[in-house]
Amino acid sequence: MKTPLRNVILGICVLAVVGSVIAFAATGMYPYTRFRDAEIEAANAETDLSDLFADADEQGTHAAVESVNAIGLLPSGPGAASISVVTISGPAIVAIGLALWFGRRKASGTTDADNGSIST
Amino acid sequence: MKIITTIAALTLASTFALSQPAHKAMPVAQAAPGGKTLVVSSAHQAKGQVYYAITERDRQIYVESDAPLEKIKGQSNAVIGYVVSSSHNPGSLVAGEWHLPVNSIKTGIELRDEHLAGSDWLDAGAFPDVIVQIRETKDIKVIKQTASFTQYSVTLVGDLTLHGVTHTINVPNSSVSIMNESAATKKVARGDLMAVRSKFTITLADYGVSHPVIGEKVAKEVEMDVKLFMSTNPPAKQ
Repeated sequence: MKTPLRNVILGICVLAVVGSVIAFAATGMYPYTRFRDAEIEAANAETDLSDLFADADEQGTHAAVESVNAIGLLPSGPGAASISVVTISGPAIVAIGLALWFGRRKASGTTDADNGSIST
Repeated sequence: MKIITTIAALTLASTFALSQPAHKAMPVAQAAPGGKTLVVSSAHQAKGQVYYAITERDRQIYVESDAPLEKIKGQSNAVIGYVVSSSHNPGSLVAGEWHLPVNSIKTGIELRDEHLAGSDWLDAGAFPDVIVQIRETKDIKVIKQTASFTQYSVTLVGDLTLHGVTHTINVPNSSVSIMNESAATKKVARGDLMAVRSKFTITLADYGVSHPVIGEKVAKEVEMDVKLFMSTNPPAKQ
């Protein structure tokens, strides 16, 4: 593989790994990728009755499920839900490994040739 | 010999007692036309004031499974049903039934919702609803009284049917709050209003729900937080 092409691939892959990790951290570090859900949002937005009985809420807040767009550590299904740190970074890390391996192989071949030895 | 016979008799007697159901199973109410509430039997109507669940508004059920590998939260606002409040003591619930459609539980991840309702888990195809049937309330005491509402602390006693399996539940520290209709309440919902709050734990194995990931990704015990708002007006008039 030509060095400039390899460097471009390396750069893209490193960006993919770093980008997915940053997106994971920035969107709440959920274990699974998730998307906003209209039904959850509608139920969470409707608080008229809860507000009316707010003074009678001796047992604390009634918790709610978050409705967010988040890149998770793992995918949560097919399609867009398959985007995750693992599904982005996994192939990128493999590609980085391959690019580095090819680069090292080529470099060691060049060095051996410079030394007058036969190398594959 | 006499002692052995006595012990054997006592053992048999206690085994027999344990194998008997604590209560006779109650008949399950049918959904009323329109599906927004349940049909209230005349026997239940005669027991006191009927309050109907206000459905598809504020969230009513929050479920949490806190397993070592994953925390799962779910919620629903699709509970339908009613409770009957005693005419002698409004804080005393003398009958009632709620249906939580399994398919309505949202966890924020679509595929997980499908799995939850699937045959490996709650099997919504065969058992579409989680059903709570109220038998009575005990330990009733007024814990708060203001110009707008009265709040009672109660122990809810009833039957919970999940995955086709029914067990009696006793839920102490539940609350029943009653708010008479006023100008302020009319802006939100019509009729006298009631809020029922109850927190309890369900052991999945008790209800025949088993799966290899229970104990790892799904907790053996799931926390339920119920907060139902109800009105004396049936859904069509709310």
